[in-house]
Amino acid sequence: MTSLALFRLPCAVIMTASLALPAAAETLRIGTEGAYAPFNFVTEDGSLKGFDVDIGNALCAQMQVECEWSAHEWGGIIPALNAKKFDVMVASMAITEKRQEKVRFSSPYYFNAMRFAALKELELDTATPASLEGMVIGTQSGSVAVTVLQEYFPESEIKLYPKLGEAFLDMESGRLDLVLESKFSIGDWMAKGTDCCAFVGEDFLMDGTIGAGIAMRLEDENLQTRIDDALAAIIANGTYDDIRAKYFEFDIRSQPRIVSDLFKG
Amino acid sequence: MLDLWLDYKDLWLSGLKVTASLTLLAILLGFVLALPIGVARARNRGLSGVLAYGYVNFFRGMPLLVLLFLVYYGAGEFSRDLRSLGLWWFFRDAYYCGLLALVLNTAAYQAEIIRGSLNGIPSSIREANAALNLTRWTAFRRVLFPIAIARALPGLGNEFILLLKATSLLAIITIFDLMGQARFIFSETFDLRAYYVAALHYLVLVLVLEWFLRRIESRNAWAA
Amino acid sequence: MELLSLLTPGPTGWGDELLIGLGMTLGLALATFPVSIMLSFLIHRARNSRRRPVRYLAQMHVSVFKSLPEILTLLIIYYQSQVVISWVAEYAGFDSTLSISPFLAGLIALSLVISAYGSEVVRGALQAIGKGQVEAAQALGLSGFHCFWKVILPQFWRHALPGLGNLWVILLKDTSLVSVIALSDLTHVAALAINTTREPFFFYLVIAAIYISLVILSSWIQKRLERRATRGVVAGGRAHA
Repeated sequence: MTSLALFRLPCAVIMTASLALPAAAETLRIGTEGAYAPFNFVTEDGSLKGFDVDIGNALCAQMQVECEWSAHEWGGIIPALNAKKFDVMVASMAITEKRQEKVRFSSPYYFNAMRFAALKELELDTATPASLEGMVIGTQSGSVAVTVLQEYFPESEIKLYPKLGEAFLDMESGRLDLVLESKFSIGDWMAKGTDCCAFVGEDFLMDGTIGAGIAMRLEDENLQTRIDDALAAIIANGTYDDIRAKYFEFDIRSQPRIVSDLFKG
Repeated sequence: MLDLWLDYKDLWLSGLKVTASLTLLAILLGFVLALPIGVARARNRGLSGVLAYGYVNFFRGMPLLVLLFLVYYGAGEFSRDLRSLGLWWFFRDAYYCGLLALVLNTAAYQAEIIRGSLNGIPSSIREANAALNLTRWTAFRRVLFPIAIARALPGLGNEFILLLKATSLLAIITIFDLMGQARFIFSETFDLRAYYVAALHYLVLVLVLEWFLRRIESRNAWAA
Repeated sequence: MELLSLLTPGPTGWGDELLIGLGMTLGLALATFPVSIMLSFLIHRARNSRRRPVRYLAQMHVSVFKSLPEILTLLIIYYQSQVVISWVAEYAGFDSTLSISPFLAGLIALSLVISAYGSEVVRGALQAIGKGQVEAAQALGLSGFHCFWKVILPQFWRHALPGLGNLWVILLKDTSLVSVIALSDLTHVAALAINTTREPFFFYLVIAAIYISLVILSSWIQKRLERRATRGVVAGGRAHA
């Protein structure tokens, strides 16, 4: 009997995931990462939570569809979307030209600015290519921060982590001198009781970044219209601000500075 | 696929170098560690026997991935203590941590191979040693050990190949070996072929290694 | 111990999630193992096929999956299979929402890998039984199926058990790789727990202990099965070994 009970779980996984045919009520399959607090993360009770998840659920409610969430590795999340493992990605992905060749984005739902955090013992007061020469900087593999580091900080050593949380672990142990990532994620991490590190320098966006967008496959033009309408609706009726206030005490839809203004010339 | 290789030629080559150096260092250091453990396993007496038994079962019992995380992120948690012990320069480096995990893992497997070949030596040889009045140390050093190693070669060769494949896990702790480069190129291009290019590298590496091992074995009179 | 409270079940501890992760790990290994064994038999037969292309294909399967790192096989299967399914669906002209779950991808990839090694276990065991048995069965007029089911298979387990036990342990540990494609197995749950608790040493030590216990338990069961399979066999009585 025990072996039967053990089998039930995986069988259910195969059935729901691989044989999910369109049901009567429309379901929207939403993918996210689940390791990017406070935007999307898995809690102690095993469920997905965070700003992205709340926004996604609000959009589904607005569109009167069922949300079906799944978590995916960040490094393969765009291929997973294009391979139809899910239909819509709400994962705080910054809209960039390179990504727009692969997927279609909604209008931005917030601006996810990057900022450096450094070990306090380094006593840095600026974060410029010159002041960070020779230092070890970590970030998540496949994030826009990688491009910034490659382009503007060629004299620093770059370390890439599959999950952002692992970069934070290495920061706390002192393997990294700095982390470059979303200032919100870093802020969330520092608020959880680390005193190893502090923000340094200003926050900024990638050149050409329009903000974080909700992604879908290139061919799903109709879906984009529906998502954009729903997004505009929840911003207009105050739902968006209610959700935002749960996570952030400040506006996250104003545009910060662009990276090339900061580090060029 | 050739274009993807040529576009990132430098990355692939440096990845190849890291994979090769990790594999070679790990197999050699692992052998050095495995020798005493394997001998203790074969004797299977006293405290050394118990310790060797514990070592082998501990490190063969857990997935290498878990051992890797345990060494790398586990050491990170104790960075303050390691710093005061003067060991942090070693544990700070992902390459050294990964190498340590590989060595601990492969030593457990190599020790079992060495034990097997020591235990498999025919008793007539031991009797001959006794008849010649060889001391235990001389008998071990000049007779049993060379035979055991010769007999262990096929098994060790096999372990060599398994270890080469196992180095790919180190990509997860920020090492840019072949796998690490493939992951990086995949995240840059979203091009699945990056993994196929990496796969070809591993195929060729294993084929070359197998050819090389066969050549050694064909000269080995003691191969079981 | 403060740390132990992290393992309690319920909304504040990770005990229940780890248990579900353990179920996922065991479920994947238990589902993959029979598939791998059947595939091993097929590959063994194909390697001895009279048709040359079949033989080559089987040989290639063994060489490729014994050479590729398991994690690479897994990633390729996970992403490529989805592309293939979409392509087939498009070609057949239906809109597909079929999706390969990490579980299924893990099952396929690990079966491919384990069967490459398994075909050699099968070969070794069948060789140990020897051709004489088959010839005797044929002389008695048994059909091919009966010969396999009544003569070969009962003896097969005895010779194959050590090799199969080895494969099972390899498989059990290789399931941890599926955590990399976000299946919530034991290793993945540990990573999630560490994300919020920041206790990597403790959690990885706990799951290492779980894996080690599973391996010890497996080898205990294997020994019992071996004793069962060899009952009635006179020690040293047959000169096959």
